Amino acid sequence: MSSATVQPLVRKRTLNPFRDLSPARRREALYGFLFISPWLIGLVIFTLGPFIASLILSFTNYSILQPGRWVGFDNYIRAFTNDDLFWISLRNTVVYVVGSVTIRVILGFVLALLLNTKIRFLALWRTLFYIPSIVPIVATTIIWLYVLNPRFGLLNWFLGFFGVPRLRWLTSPDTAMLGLLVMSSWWVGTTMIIFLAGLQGIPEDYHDAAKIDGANAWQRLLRITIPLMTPTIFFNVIIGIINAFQVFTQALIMTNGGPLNATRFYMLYLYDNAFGYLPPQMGYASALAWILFVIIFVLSLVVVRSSDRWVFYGN
Amino acid sequence: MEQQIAAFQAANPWITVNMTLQPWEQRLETLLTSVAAGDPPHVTMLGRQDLPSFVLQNALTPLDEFMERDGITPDMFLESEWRGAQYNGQTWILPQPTGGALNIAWYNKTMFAEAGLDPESFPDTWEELWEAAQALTIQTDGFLDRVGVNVATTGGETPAFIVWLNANGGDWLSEDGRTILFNSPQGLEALQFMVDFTNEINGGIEEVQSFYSQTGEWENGPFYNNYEAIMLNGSWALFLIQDFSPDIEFGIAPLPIGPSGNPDVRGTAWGGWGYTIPRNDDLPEAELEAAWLLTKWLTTEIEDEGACWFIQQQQRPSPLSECDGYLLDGVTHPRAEEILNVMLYDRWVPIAPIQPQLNEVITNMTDEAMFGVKSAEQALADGAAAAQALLDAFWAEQDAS
Repeated sequence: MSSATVQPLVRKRTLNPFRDLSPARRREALYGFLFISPWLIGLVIFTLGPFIASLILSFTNYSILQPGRWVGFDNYIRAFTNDDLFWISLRNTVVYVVGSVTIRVILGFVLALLLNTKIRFLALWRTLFYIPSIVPIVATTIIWLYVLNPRFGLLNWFLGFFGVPRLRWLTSPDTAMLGLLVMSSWWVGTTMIIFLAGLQGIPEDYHDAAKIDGANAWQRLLRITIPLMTPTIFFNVIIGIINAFQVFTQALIMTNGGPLNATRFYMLYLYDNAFGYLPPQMGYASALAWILFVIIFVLSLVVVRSSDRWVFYGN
Repeated sequence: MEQQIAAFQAANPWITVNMTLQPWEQRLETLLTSVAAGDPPHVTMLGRQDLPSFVLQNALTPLDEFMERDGITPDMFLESEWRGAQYNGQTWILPQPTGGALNIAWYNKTMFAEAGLDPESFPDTWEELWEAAQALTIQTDGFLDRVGVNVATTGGETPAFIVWLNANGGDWLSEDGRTILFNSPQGLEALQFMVDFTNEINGGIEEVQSFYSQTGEWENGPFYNNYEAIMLNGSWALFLIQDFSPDIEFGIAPLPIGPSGNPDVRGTAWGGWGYTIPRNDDLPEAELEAAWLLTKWLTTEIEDEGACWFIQQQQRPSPLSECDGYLLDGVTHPRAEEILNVMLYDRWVPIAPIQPQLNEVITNMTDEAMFGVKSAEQALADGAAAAQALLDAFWAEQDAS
């Protein structure tokens, strides 16, 4: 009786998988890298390089003209313990994030629901709602300076029909943030389009079955549409948070952080430190940038981890 | 500018000049990065309000040796202009155009007459300005229809508080740039004046900002369209008025003084511009010499199409003592003497190396008082403390390095 030893089919671990490839596959891999090398080189030079450089600079007092001295964690300590504007700008930004993400997700969802019905000129309506999203932001801020004008602005004119007294919008610290939040609805088109794609991915069979069971439109919305849309909502919330934390251009052009620091956003404060102050506080600005990165990262992680409880992937 | 450069090249055929205009917002950023990269322009225009910081960052070339060699002396310039060209005992920039004539009161004589005021006599004190503004300001149901004068802005880049403090005989910063001085009786008077004037005559800062949000700059400015009786602006406003509202009969006057003010001191000589040579350790001697010759042409040339000629084309005050900036084609502008007389009341005001940060503190301090968040006294004390803290931190770092 012979006994044959059966060798288990176990892939041998190697530190260099490239070496395990056949010459043909190796050549194929090399060609692949060659084709993506322009992008890879650009990534290293223009993204990873500055990324690492800014991390190093955040531990120095670099001011462009002077090489900068190593200061350890001084910049980070200063931000958290000795800089009122850091907290003011962070608070303003958080308020803006919560407000603008809520507005755009809810409004985008409602618009997507409306534009997912069979109405005349549907393509036209979808286009009209999307067009504001692709207008350059500087042009958008100029438009909204007129919309929010306290004397002759469109918004006050419209609110006047409902008996609302003239609001001062960007000229008052009490209403400046509100004005920018209203303005954030301008970009609802992007969120709407993504929601629309999600709605159109919901099989009609579910709605048909629910109708047969006697569910009305509201019940179908709550029990079918919204649960099945949670992955899309999750995506829009994450992207919305990441974008909203970087709010900058509208504050720079429309209010320059005023009045009374009411619209002093984090990115604007970072920009002032890097390019507005003399000598430029590049080291400190780099530290601010990394603090923002960590905040956005942690928040995104929290949302992702929480998604297990409320995002339904259909399985 | 191109004509000036062409004349320079004709006079110096071995030198070729390439001129590049920079966007306003990126001008400092571009200059700083070019110096850091070791490839700055040979000559650049620089705001004198940016000078201290650039000097302390070792970004500029001192000009004293060149000046001594070529006989360029301080008395060639107006004294208030010259002071801003020096820092730490050395000369780093030659002035062009002026830093003075920033705070001129341009007033509508017709409105003055209609309001029962003497159109040939502008208010001399803050009290008189208050009374005049009461007659000139028009409001309907709490909304401004016409502003007599807005004291929250005073033309140029100088924070309005510093202008009014100066007109009230006060100092904002010690000459060595290390000590904040504006938390003083004169400072409190100035800030309280701004707050009270804005609240009681102009209906509050929010109403003022709301009013000015409906007007614009340039041809849409309120003064040019009869929405403002008194405009506080620099000498360049002469041509704006002539271009945008040639029918307005206007007067020119220096700022009124406050209760603690000096009748001979009313306006600030703050900042202004000039030409300087950025530091470049690798620059060959011949190129450094060419840079100096261009700088000299742009700032001191009286005879040919240089500094004086350039200012005369613009019809503005010249920082050069011997140059009549308003003389063009053999004729001096009829309003030149009035503007030059206003300049006589200017006083040089020191600039800090961290001026943008201090401007921010002062603006915030003024806003806190204007918006009623703090009393003028508290806002002034807090603002001074914040400004001093920033200065102390800067100088501690500077002295340690």
